[in-house]
Amino acid sequence: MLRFENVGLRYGLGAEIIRDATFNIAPQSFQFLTGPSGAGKTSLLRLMLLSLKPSRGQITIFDQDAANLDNTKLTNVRRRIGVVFQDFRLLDHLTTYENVALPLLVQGRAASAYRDEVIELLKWVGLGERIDALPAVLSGGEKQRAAIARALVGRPELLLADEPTGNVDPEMAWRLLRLFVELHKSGTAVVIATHDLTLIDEFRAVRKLIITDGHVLVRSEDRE
Amino acid sequence: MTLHVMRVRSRSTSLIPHDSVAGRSLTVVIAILTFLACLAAGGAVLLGEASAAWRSDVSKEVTVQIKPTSGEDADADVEKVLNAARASPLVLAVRALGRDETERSLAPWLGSGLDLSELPIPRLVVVTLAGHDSDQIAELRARVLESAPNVVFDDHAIWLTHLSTVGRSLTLFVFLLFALVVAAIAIAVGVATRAAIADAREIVEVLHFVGASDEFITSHFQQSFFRISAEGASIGGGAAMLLFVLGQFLFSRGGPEDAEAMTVLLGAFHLPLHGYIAIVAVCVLLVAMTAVFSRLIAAANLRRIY
Repeated sequence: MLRFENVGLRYGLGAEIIRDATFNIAPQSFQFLTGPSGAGKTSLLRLMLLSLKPSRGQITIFDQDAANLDNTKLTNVRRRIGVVFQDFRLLDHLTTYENVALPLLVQGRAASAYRDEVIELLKWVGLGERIDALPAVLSGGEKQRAAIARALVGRPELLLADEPTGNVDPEMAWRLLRLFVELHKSGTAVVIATHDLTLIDEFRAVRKLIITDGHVLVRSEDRE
Repeated sequence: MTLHVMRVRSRSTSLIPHDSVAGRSLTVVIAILTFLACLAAGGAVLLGEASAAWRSDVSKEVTVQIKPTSGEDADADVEKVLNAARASPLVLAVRALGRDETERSLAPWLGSGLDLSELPIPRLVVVTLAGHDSDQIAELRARVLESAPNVVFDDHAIWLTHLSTVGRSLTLFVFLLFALVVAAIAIAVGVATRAAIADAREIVEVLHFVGASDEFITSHFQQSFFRISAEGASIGGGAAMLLFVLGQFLFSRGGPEDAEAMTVLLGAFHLPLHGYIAIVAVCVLLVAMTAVFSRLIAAANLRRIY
């Protein structure tokens, strides 16, 4: 589904922050991406999302070389990926409902076809009473859940989440992770970036991508 | 849930917030430019109508001037001219202007209330023609000059040439003005679109990440600019129409002498229906151009953000 081969990334003329990254994200897999703060987790996720171009190496996504994707193909690839940003990236002038429905709206689907589905999802993440609220009046946790709902609503084949439980209490964190697991069971490959090792241990992840000194190490633990 | 659904239905989603489009200032700029373009269009129609009326009046008339020369009997010459003109098949009507009438016709240039009795004002014979046939006019000229060799036969050819030149110049001026307005709008919309995309860069990025195509995003920018330009064009075009209506009203309220003088000089200040249609067409054209410009510029700038 997603393959990195000897991928390196540097910003400008600086040192490489990701070096020789070689790994594979298989369909329907579940993995945590971890490492200390500032190790490059977000940069690696942005490479996976194709919002950054690697300085070297090759990224293959959905059997296509990322370097050869034109705008139309890139758009089609992104429609197959759900993403949760660390800073949520909700559009401030849209309501919670509109933000969550955005991936469906941009695909040109009729609002009547997805309205109930979006409202149902919002209720599931505990935002049933905040449907018409603008992001400015949402708490950090509510924004987080709205961002997660937006990533899930299009039933993506690959979900990339950057610190998705960073702003919620442990109970909600566990609930959200269960949501990711459910999504994984329904066929979505999930990559969750977090520096919370306790959470990873509690969750009994089977695969970890660990970034240290710019290198990506893959650890698989058969504990599920 | 029903309440929520109703609320969701009632809100029309605009993905590009109007604040980020520098909407108000652009609305004002488009309103001003549209106002100028509409004034130019309305003025062109007004002048075109006046020019056509002038040309029609002038080309269907011939004026014979009998200058007061010492030793000549002006009244006898007038009679000879009248008889000669009546004999021509081209002549529809012919009449000699009395002195009072001649003095009144000079009022727009010399002012009213003056004693002109001491001035050697020529006698005028106005010949109304059935058409404008050059050969027949030449024959009429020969006939009149044969009967009264000292008179001046004026078929207004010089005036017609001047009026045609003025008409062409005004048309060219209007086109130039319109081209300048279009260029100004293109520049204003270009700057505003680039500013809007810069302001909305984060929005554009999010839209890209959730799978929006460039076409989808540019269409939303286009919708925003369409709304802004429609608002500006409505204000500018409406103001221009109001000005023409007000001008006509004020013109008609003026005293009869003022109105007559203005009519002689400029023609009637009355914008016909097709003048108002021209103003609406200008507004529609400018709105359409704004929408197209914004789309093209947005598409070109989005490629850099990808």
